[in-house]
This record gives sequence, C-alpha cells and structure tokens, in this order.
Amino acid sequence: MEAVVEEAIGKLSPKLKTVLLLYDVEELSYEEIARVLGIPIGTVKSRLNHARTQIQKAVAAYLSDAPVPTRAPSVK
Amino acid sequence: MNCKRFEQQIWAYLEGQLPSAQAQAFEAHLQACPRCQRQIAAAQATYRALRALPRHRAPENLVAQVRHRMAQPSARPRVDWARVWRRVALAPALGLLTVAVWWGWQAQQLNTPINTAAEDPTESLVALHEQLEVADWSPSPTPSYFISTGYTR
Repeated sequence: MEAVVEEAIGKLSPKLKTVLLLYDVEELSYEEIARVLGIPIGTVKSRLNHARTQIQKAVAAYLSDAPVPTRAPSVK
Repeated sequence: MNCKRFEQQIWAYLEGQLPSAQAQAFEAHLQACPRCQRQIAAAQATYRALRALPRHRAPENLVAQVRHRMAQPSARPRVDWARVWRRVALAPALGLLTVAVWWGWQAQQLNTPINTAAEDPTESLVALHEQLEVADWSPSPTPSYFISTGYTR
C-alpha cells in the first residue's frame, strides 16, 4: 500500500505534490500553506483535494482489479 | 445526496469537518450505495497511508556538528591540477587566435583601395581642380596685418 501511495505521489504535478506533502505529511494548516506558497486558501484546498483524489484512484485500483472511476474536481 | 456530492465531501468527512446534518446525509448515502462504499474504503486507506508517511527531520545533533566543523581551522585547499592545465593550455590558443584575427585584419586593410575615386584618375583630377578653384587664396591675417590696418580690440 505504501509503495502504491508513494508511486502515486511521485506522479503528481509539483504544485499538487507540494500542497499534499505540506498538509498531510508536514501537517501545516491551510493558512500556513497559503502563506508559504503565496496562494489563496481556496487554491490550497482545491489542490489538496485534487491530489488526494488522484492518489485515491491509484489506491482504489490497487484494492480492486478494476479502477474505480472518480470525478476529479477542477484545480485553480 | 447523490454520488457526485458524496465524492466532493469524502475528505471533509474523513477529517471530521462536515456539519452534523451533512454528515448524517453523507452516512445515509454511504449505507445505500455500494459504489460509494468502495470509494470511501479507498479514501480511508489513502488517508491512513498519507498520514503514515515518514516525516524527514534533521538529526538532533546537526547544529552541534555544523558549529564544530565551523570552529575547526579550514584545511588547505587542494590544487585542482586538471583545471590548472586546462587554463595553461587555453592561453596559447587564445594568443594564436588573436594573432590570426590581427593578421586577417591587416591583410584586409592592404587589399582595400584607399580611395575609390583613385580608380578613375580623371575624376580625381577634376575634383581636385574644383577644390582649388573655390579655395580662399587670400593671405591669413598676421600680427603685421593688424598693425598696418590699425586694428585694435
């Protein structure tokens, strides 16, 4: 499972990966990430949701043979 | 609630950020929808895996190590002989290039006619004659001239 997640993180774009790692790994708040990256909080939430959804697809495909289709939200 | 709305609220639900009314509607849909049950199973596994990723931290004694290294006298810098030889070899090459450029420029200057009008002697003579005709041949004022004419400032 860890390998699947790490591989999926590696496929993320730098913008999505940065927000994901700052929030889920470094445990920074939305406000802190927005301040560090100089982007609106809404953009932080949008990128985080998009990144998680991409990883969720990889995990779903790993858990079941057939990938579960998910609708990716728009990213600013 | 439909599946699209469910997907949009998965992460807020897992982090406990949904208001109670929305959370109840979310759970009611979850009970009735096998597809969304698979979705949330994958999301929960993703959430746990992300939270379990190792955080990279600097060693505890990193600051002490850096200060210790900075306190030590710096070692004599090692001579990079390959770099020195490259520079030594570069100097004569630049010299040769300079001489070649200078020689080429000199050769070009020698081959260039000084005056294009000189190719036609007749035109040169005519031009010279015209210049001589319009020239002012009156003598230039000298101190004796000013004295003889009584010129004063």
